[in-house]
Amino acid sequence: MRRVVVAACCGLLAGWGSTASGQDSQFGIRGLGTPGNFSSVRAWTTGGALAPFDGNSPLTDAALGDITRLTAAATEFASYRSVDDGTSASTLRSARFPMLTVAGPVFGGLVIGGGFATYLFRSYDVEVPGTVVIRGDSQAIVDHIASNGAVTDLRLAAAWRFSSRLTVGAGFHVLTGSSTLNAIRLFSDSAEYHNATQTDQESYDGIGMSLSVLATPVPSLRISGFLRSDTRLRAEIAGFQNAQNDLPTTVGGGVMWSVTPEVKLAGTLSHADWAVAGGGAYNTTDWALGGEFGRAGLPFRLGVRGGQLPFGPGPTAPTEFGVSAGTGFIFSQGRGIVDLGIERLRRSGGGLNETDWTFLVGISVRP
Amino acid sequence: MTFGRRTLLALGLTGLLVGCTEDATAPGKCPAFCPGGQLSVVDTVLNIISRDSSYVGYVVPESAGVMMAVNFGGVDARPIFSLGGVSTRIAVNTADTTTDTAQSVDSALLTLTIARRDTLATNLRINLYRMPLSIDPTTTLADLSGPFTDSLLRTVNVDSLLALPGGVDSASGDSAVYTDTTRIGVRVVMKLSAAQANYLAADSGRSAFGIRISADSLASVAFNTVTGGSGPIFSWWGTYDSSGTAVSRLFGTAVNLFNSYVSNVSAPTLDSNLIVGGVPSARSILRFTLPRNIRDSSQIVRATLTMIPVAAPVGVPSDSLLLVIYRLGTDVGAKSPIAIATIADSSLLVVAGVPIGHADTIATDITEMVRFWQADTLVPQSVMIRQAPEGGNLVSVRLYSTRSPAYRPALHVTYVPRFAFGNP
Repeated sequence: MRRVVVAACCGLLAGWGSTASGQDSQFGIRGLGTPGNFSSVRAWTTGGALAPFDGNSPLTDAALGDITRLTAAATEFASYRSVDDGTSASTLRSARFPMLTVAGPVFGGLVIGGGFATYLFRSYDVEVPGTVVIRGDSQAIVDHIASNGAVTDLRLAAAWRFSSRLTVGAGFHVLTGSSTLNAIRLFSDSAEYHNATQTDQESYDGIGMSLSVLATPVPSLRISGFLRSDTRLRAEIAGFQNAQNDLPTTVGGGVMWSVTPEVKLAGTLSHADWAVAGGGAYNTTDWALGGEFGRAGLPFRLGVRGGQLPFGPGPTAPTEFGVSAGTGFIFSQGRGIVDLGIERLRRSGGGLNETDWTFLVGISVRP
Repeated sequence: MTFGRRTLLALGLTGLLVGCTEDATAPGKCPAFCPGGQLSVVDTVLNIISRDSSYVGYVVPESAGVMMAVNFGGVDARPIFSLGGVSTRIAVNTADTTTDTAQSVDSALLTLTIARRDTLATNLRINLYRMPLSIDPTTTLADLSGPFTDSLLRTVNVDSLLALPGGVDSASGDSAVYTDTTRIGVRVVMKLSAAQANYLAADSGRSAFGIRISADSLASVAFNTVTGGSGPIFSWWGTYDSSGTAVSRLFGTAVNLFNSYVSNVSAPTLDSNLIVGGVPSARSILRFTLPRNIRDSSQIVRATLTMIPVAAPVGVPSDSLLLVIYRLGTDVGAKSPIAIATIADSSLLVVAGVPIGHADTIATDITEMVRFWQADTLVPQSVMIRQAPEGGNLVSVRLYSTRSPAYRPALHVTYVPRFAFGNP
């Protein structure tokens, strides 16, 4: 089984370079993108409720304090999305490798970790048919405006366990990444008119800081609070800045109650002032409820999440609601973990409805 | 691990790998769910030809690929050619180790290949004249008025020959046959008697001939030259003694020394307009200056060069004027090199037809050339226009130049300006 885990890890790492963006949405097209889900597959399948308490989830830095040995975790998913704007419907699909984390204890109560996670998904291909009059004749055209890429969050974080009841964490974030942008006009009369294709490479940069605290007032209850502030996102094409947008400050908190060793319930609430990003952006409040049930070797996870998306045509922020479930497998005396999950997500706003099936695989290796 | 867990795990990993496909294309509900900005298209006529020039004297009649014979519309053009001498001494039989001289010169066969003619011309006749051996590139039509008056050797009616079975006149020994499926090209063989061929031993049979054509109408024919691939072929036949028996043998085929034509059409003259074609041939150069915003930032989807003739070119319809527009790799004026004409690359050359008798605007698609100028900003944005075949057509066309602002050549260009990617 060890070979299976190693082969799966290699497969995931091989896919890193090819797809570095994530769970895309039509609601991110007019904005900076669709915010990522800073959750491991384990936390994702609880709706994200366990993310503040999961060391492999990059949502909070203090959760690193729970990691007792060197651990590498990766997430991959395949997404099948349906978009219905009231007049037409289309089915989209994508496969992504949105997250990799590595963390381990250094000495005493210090745990250091890092990795990357998708901060904003920026992949789309909008097809717009039309007709233009050129040289006195009507010409049928099809325009494609496409982007393939993402803004990636590179994180270096540390957590310090002051005691068994209090852990504090901090992280430094570098936002980077790029997108391949295409603007294509296809003419139906290709004998007379050449198709026009413009391709640019857009790169992004920005920085951010995060602070978090994880308290365990009683053994069965854990409380998390987190704060993250990102400066701005600067976009450049061919070395020239073409956009700069402020990024939000995110605050949130969570509670986890271990009812029994085999029943864990959690809830998370967060708020981000995305409205600072510019016109058409809205502040968002997201929530998640979920739990993990059963023994550690074969748990069952269930969760729901909801909230708003930061970008939409208005006048209010689009909303999203998701239900997720999953399980996990432990191999080789706990050195390898494979988590599987599924999520059904619905987004709506501005007359557009989007539904999504996401199939998740997470692999954690603890050598 | 139980079988159920293994199965679930395998299904999960397999499903994920199978799902590694991408389809992000969706109809756009604009502007609500589309990126900011829209692709646009601009269609405009640009007077961006900054300089233009014409030059004369490229291809003269004696170096053209065809010899023009015209007797129509006041144009009189007559092919002339001279042939080298041949010896009458040959080995009569293949086994012979010695050679003999001809007892007498019997006859000669002249083969002419018509490369272009008007198929609507009827009763096309080829009149063959003997010319003085002194003809050369400086000879004019006036110089040859005498020989063309009193030295007629033979007349052949091409249409009559073609109407005969096999195109052969067994009585005269003449023949004619089509050389292509379009029935435009014709190979004509004329037989000359000993007296008509007039082999002069002192000159080793050196000969010179001239041709004048006539027809009921549309008398315009282009005969191939050596430069064009198949010049006149002149074969001598003689009578030899083969062991007491008189036999007829081919004893030589004359080498073409000079193929040309003389005409009453004057050479093109330069003025404030552009001129292309004629004899000696003229070429024109157009020099463009693409605006920086188009050259550097736009996608050119169509570019059409428009030129307006000063007057309709005059000639028979079959002499339709073909203009070849070459993109220049180097612009050094009149001697700018042009590419080999057989290269079928529209970024290098394009062909435009100019109908005879019409002064319509000439509109030629040069999209690939203009796109090439975008891709390689170091090459000169210049084109040279010449006629095809050059020197093989008496028709020329005058085009308005940049010195005639109302009718100047222009570039009709359709382009997609740079799309401004960016966040709303």
